Amino acid sequence: MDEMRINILMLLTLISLEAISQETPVKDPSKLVEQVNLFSQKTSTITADFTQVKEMSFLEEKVISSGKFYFQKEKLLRWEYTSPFSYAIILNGDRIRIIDEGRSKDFDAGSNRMFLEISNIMTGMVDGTLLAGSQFTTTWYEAQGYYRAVMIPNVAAMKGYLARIELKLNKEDYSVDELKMIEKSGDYTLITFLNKKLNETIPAAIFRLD
Amino acid sequence: MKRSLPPYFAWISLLAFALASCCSVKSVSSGGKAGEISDAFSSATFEKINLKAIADYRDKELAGRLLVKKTGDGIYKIAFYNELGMTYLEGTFIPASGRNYFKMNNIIPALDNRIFIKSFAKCLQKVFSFRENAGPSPGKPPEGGNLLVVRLKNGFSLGLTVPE
Repeated sequence: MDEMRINILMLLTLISLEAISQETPVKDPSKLVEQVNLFSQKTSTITADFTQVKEMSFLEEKVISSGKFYFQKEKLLRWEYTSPFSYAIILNGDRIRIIDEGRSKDFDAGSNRMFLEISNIMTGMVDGTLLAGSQFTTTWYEAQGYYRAVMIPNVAAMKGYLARIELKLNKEDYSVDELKMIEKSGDYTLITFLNKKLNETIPAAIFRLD
Repeated sequence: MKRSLPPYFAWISLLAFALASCCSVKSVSSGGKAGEISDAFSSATFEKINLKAIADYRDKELAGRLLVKKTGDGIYKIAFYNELGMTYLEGTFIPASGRNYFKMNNIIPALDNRIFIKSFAKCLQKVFSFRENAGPSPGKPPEGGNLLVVRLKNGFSLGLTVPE
């Protein structure tokens, strides 16, 4: 009898765990997208720590890095790796600076279409505006605590390299908790945002290029 | 008019030589910690090595990391990727083999051309066979304290450095 009770308990636990982790399609994505847009409108700055895991299936290797992320409307972004290397990308309007272990290189996104696309995608991924664009076809899922957007590129150049992007949005405030870029080869890069702070003042020096 | 054989073969040899020299190494320059890189590759003592890498061709620069992992039987798996996580290419390198010493596993479409692949493979071959004591071939002096650079006659170069 006791053994039977234990078996029933285990079965119930497994069923409830399965229910928690199971994702279901979002019934009305348009309402969700509205909420995401509202978040984007209400948010003027985002600061967060991040960890990045790059999985290389061919080499059977995981490369782990971490850093700090800053975003300010409309187009100010600083993506800075602090470990295991020092590397930063600063977007300031149409200007981009890459700082690689102390050495800087500047690019003009305004005159370089590729850089313009990259800067639009990076800011769009962070503030959620990428979801509203036509560059991707998006399917939405939800589970306890989060929504997941599976974004398949429509642009030919991106399609040749990227299988899809997955964004995990926090159900509490619709901010991005995780960003996963899956390459056609099967490799992926998973970025997890931690210690997020919204609408706090960011010193101008963080984004300054002059 | 009947062609004579010896001049004909001389022409063929000259043509073959010219084609081969398109991709042949112009110079290998090194300095400082670059000796550590060349020693590691030539003695094949590492299991895994991760270097900063810059591929330069016709004023276009591709920077990132080169991860080289020994898998056994003298075979190395190589990945060239950038800090943001984008994989440029992955492949297998067999230093002791004959002609097919680099086998591409995957490469981004923008780089998927014969010249780039062949040049990259040629540079890798040189890095694996470089001997510090042999000294650099005639060419430019070492650029940076820790940089190992292989330059090909077609203008392609691969620079490797130990991350700080």
